[in-house]
Amino acid sequence: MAESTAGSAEKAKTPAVEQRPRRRRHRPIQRRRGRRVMRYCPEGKCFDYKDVDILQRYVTESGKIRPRRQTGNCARCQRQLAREIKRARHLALLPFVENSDKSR
Amino acid sequence: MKRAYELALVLRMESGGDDGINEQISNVQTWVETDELGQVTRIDRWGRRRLAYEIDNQKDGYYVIMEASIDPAGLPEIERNLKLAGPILRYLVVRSDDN
Repeated sequence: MAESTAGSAEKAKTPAVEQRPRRRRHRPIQRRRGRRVMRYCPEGKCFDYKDVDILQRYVTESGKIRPRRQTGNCARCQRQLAREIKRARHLALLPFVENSDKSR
Repeated sequence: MKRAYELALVLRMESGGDDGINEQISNVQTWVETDELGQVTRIDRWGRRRLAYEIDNQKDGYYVIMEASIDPAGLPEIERNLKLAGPILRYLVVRSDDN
């Protein structure tokens, strides 16, 4: 906080010089959007197209399949998840696209 | 050799009420069991359910999950029947013995 107030005073004079080192400092810190929770991976099947409530947690509001960096699934589970979501979509259990402006 | 399969059906709601749906389910069962190529082991009726998107102007569908052991040789004929049946909005046949 104290650093930023000192920086803003200096920024009035030379803004470009002040901003460059700050940006470089932030780059190595990886931004993680959403959660990443390690999930217990069962022996057999991780997902089933019939468990709509579970699958619902792995799609975004617009109906897209969440990426692995958000779901925290292992590679095998994520592949199965994608397959089962697509099966559920075919049976109209899950939407292909969900329009936010069109409320039913 | 028979394998375990799972058939998911979405039936049209307006196909003659409960009788129409029962008839449709028994139709599918006879298709599966023709020539002793298959045996239905379990029928799970989910019942009426809202569709995630409209199919053929329908907003609701009657969901049925059927488990059966079927000889793969009989599958093309079963799928053909499912495909041609008007009251079946959607179907899905998956093998349930592997992951």
